[in-house]
Amino acid sequence: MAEDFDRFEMLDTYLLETSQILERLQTVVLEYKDAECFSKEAIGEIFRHMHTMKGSAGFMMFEQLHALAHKTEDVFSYLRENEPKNVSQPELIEKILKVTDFIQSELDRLSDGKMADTSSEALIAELDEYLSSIKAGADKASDTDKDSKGDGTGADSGINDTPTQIYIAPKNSKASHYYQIYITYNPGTELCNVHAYKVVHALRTVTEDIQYRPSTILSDIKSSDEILDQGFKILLKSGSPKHKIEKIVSEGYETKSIEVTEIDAARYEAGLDLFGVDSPLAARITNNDEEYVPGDFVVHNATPGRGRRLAKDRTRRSTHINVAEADMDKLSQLLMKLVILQDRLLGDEELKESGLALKNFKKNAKKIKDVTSDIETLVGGMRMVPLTNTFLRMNRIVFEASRKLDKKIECVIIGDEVKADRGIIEHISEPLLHMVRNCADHGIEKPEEREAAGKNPTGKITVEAVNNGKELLITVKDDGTGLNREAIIKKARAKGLLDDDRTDDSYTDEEVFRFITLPGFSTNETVTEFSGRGVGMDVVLSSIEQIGGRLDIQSKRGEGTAMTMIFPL
Amino acid sequence: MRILLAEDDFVTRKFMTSFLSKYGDCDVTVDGMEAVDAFMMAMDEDDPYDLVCLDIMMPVMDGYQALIGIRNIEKERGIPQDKAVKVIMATALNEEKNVKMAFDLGCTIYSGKPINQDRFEQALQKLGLID
Repeated sequence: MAEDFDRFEMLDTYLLETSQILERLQTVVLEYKDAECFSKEAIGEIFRHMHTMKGSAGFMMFEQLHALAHKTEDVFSYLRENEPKNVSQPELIEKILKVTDFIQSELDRLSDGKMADTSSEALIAELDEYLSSIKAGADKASDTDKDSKGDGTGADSGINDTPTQIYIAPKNSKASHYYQIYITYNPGTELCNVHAYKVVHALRTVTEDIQYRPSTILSDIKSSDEILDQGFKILLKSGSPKHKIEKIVSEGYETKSIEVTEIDAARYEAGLDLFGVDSPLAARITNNDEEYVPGDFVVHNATPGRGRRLAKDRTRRSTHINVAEADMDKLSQLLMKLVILQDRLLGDEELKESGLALKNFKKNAKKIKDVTSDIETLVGGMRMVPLTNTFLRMNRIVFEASRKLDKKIECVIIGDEVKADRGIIEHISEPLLHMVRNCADHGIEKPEEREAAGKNPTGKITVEAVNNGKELLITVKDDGTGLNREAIIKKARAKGLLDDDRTDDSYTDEEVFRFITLPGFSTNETVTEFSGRGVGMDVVLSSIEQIGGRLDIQSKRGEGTAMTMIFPL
Repeated sequence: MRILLAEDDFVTRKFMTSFLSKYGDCDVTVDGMEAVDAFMMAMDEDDPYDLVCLDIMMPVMDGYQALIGIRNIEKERGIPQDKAVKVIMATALNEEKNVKMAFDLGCTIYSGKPINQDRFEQALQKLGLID
């Protein structure tokens, strides 16, 4: 992350905006998955999203995505204008999801630093064919409005429409590297400044940006002494690999030592003052809140070295900084250490045994505790992100599973706005996915079975997050068949997991259900008898435990199962 | 095609001039003020530019100011929007804010530096400036 700063800001913005649109799009689509057809509003919304995506892809000159969004827009434009009947909803949904999947995979390619240039021709052709087929169907259905509305799509007229504004990303910017170069010269070397300048000049061909110190190598002959004394320091931004930089730099004369070290963007931006300082808190000022105005970028003086000073740099100060994620982690760790040491220090046995009143000490101890706890809250808050993205993905999972398994399942999401630590979110995605799939797969019964049992034929999977102030609880619940206690006990007996002295009844539900999280317990075929729940539950549990969480399992035969991941805050 | 370039850095200027000369006659200025002057002069002589390529970080007036100047001159002379000159900003500044401001002020193409020549050419084609 750290090295991806502003160079790709436009790309990042594009990626972020487009994936948000994709999320919204999928939400709308899935809302109507079981409906007869989309509502007029939904069609309009999908059309608008496609239109937006078309615009931004055109702006970024992603031709394939542009063309695909355009064609999909055509389809929805037709649906919107002509409102054809007898359009198969599952087929339409399948087409849209194909489109969103394609776009998603291109977004993934882009974030991997690749180009979004996978051909969308086949998919476009498919959509074309689909569009013709619904048009034909509509014509058959109602001969009357054949020519009244034309084809309503604006046909292919717009495919070549010129975007009015175009953004071109810098060439190869993804490959930019940052280097710290330190050169010292042999004692007594004359005109070190000229040698230094030669290096800068030689680097010219690979330089995207450069800073060096002393910066007066050309104008001030005395800089030679400074170089002899302190060495010549360069910070270089370049698309070239390290070995190439080393080769260029090592062509100089009279050098005593040359060190080329790759650094991150933050470190680079921190400038020459931090040159060579070990593990700096690599914070970089990004001026997030600062608005630029025309005139900010007037160059006031072009000094060699740092090059240019801009009008804006004199007058404004920034309010936000970006911090490398690794540093954030380190800060958390250090803070944790600090808290432990503080407790040890303040609760020191020797102090207690000394019998002194320690009035001042206690007063100050309290103050220090307050301060550290404030810092804890602050640092904790910085690491928090909402669960929205993780949760919304479950919608799609449930939808796909229900299609595949021929079941009717509704997915309810509660509390996705709850925030959780970045680390927790990273760790729960997989377990969550697994649990939701399990619910769909083994929890929810087929519609017939549900009806026979007097239940609503449509099953329900609820994903819910609650922050109760002490713990974060994430629950995946279904109203399916529930765990089969007897079958689990039988299995556990057979495996010798139960105490021979205890009767089956003496085991609490909690103890029984815990067995399904044991490795190997459920991979056996008998699993299917107790609803197959527990496939890979051992993996789920271990991921949860890895980050200090636990798993609570509640289940009632015939009524459903709820699994709750609990993480201390 | 008549092209106007404003770029204060010598090396970049040299590169850009030879690059742009492929597409037409390229006049060269070294700061934003000079670019606006040149733009106005060309209008007065009834031989306006088809394409203006602006650096952003420049002395006297930056690229944004030059862009405002150019769009104002066009407004003053009642030039309709579809006839307005295409303005490319080519700059190493690549923050979103920089890009957004450029487009708000009426820039046509925003190109990061180092310039991606293929994409650049594609964009010129899309705008119908070259075949």
